[in-house]
Amino acid sequence: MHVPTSAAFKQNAHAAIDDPGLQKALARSGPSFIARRAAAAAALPEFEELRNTARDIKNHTLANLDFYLETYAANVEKAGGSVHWCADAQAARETVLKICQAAGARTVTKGKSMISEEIAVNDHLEKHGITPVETDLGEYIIQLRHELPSHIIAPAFHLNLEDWEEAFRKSHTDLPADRVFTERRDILTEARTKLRARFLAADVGITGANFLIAETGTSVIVTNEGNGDLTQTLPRVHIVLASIEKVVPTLEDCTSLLRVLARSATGQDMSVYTTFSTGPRRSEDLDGPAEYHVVLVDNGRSAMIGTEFQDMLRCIRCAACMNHCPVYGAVGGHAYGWVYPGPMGSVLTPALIGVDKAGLLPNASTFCGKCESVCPVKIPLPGLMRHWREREFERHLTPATQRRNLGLWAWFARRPSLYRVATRAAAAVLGAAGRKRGRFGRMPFAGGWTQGRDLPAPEGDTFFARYARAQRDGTLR
Amino acid sequence: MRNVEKEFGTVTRVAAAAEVPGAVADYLAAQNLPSELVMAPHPELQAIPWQERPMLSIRQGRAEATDAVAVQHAFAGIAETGTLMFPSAPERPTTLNVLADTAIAVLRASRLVGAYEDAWDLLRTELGGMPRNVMLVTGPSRSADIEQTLELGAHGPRRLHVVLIDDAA
Ligand code: SF4
Repeated sequence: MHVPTSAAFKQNAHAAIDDPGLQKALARSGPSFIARRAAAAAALPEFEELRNTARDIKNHTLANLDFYLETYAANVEKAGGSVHWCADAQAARETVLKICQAAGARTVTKGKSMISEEIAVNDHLEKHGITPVETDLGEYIIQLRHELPSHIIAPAFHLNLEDWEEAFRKSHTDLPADRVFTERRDILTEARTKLRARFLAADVGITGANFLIAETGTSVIVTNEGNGDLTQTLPRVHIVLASIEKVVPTLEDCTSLLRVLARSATGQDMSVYTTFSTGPRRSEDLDGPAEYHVVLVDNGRSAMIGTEFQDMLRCIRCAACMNHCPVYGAVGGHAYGWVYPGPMGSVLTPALIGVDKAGLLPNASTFCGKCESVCPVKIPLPGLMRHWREREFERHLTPATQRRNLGLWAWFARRPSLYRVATRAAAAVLGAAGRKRGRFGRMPFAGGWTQGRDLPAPEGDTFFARYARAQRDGTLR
Repeated sequence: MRNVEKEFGTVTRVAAAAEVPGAVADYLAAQNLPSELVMAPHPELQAIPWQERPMLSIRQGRAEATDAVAVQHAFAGIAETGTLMFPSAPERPTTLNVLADTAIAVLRASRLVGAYEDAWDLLRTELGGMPRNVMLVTGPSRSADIEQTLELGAHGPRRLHVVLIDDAA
């Protein structure tokens, strides 16, 4: 298990600056991400407007998180899947292990998932005799090298071709030792062949989720390699690992967020594979998993609700903030000492592992404001880092904060029955509302802690919504 | 469809469904690919006169690891980003989207829509509910994990070819 070394940020950063391999990798990769995002944003005149829409969708969902989660869960179950609520990392690890053991699993393929890194599920499976195999190319080499990812969308950001070759030679000992790697393609081909066999042999496939859709009970993954799809389609059991803030109301809301995700991340208009999964294989289907489980993880999120750090829960993990961060560009991801690096890590890590362990991270900033200016959901990252610095000053505040902010989970626990009744009724209403144009205007049953708050539905049409409507009405030719 | 090509896919336009077998055979020959293929058991694909190209050997069903070429039925094409939509169904198995080295999608031009929202509308009205799996595919599989430099053909198909039937008015 990777013990967080965030407290040693200063030492880590010094070591990083003195690491020539890392500096070479950073110099090569940093500028290209920035240029590609800029080009993608410039090619879409309404990109700024889309960022507002994306922010509003997330804010609206977070303000009604209990309602959308319950609706989501009810719809997963309606589609034949199971939802497992897990309050912390330990519970999530145990749940995943139990599902794998019940399936008699020996090997488990995995799509890229940051929450899986967060809860360190691989170590737990290994300890119990189950072999997890990362199938995203970047995650695969990270696993071979027993490292943490250094970037949330490009796990092997810190590596050079030589490192790949070395790791492959060391791990794939069944292949001829005198084989030559002359270009990147040779690495890719070897990985593809190795992992093909793994995909076909796996008993369980674990993926993350970029989004969960309440309206339909759907989990969404976004990949370029196609590894996530092989992971979730071929084995008999599919486990979705997702944190609670991934939920969005409708397919249309998810679409709006997808429009800013790939553009902000890699500068693509759309990632290659965007896949929506709803329950296990249907009776007449020729393929797909027989079991579909969602492991829904809180692990500190609900305690952020209602605090100044709630804004951080809008994050869609695009990595634009770290790609544009001068500090990240100088020291790379590992210096941050845990799973989430860069500006988003500087805000999120103290919330998840404690400001006592990660209090230095919010200082890892020049406060240049670049991260906030590129964030597709407009998270005020420098402002939140400043909040942490204030908190760090008054360390003793942490337990009090927890007491003050009841947290979503406590709310769930206290009102289970009320809740179930409300959501069963709401689910039907929701489906109908969703089928009309887009999103829910008024929340029919969002009571509890949302009561008395005004819940504005996201406003403002995007170009695409206008375009779609004009086309339907025949006003566009 | 210019967006398909921007994303490294290729497109052949044909005037009618009857020309699809020729287009597929030519594409496979030009790429030096085998003429065995696995095809979605979709009525629209079954209605195509494949027998006119006896060189093509066709099996219907889901894709297996040994299949090199898959022919899939596209439910819709989304112009916004050159994206294809494949909702799963008994006649449209998901494995055909990702398992073979070469993925060929047959799309009718009348099924081209502007925005994703239009495609969701089609899905809701024609299929009623959410299928088990809906894939939105934009170009062939790729990875930039090695030195952040793009390489095509990671785990999914190395090639994505669209045969577009011009049936629009
Ligand atoms: S904080 Fe914003 S820019 Fe950073 S990863 Fe999250 S969504 Fe992207």
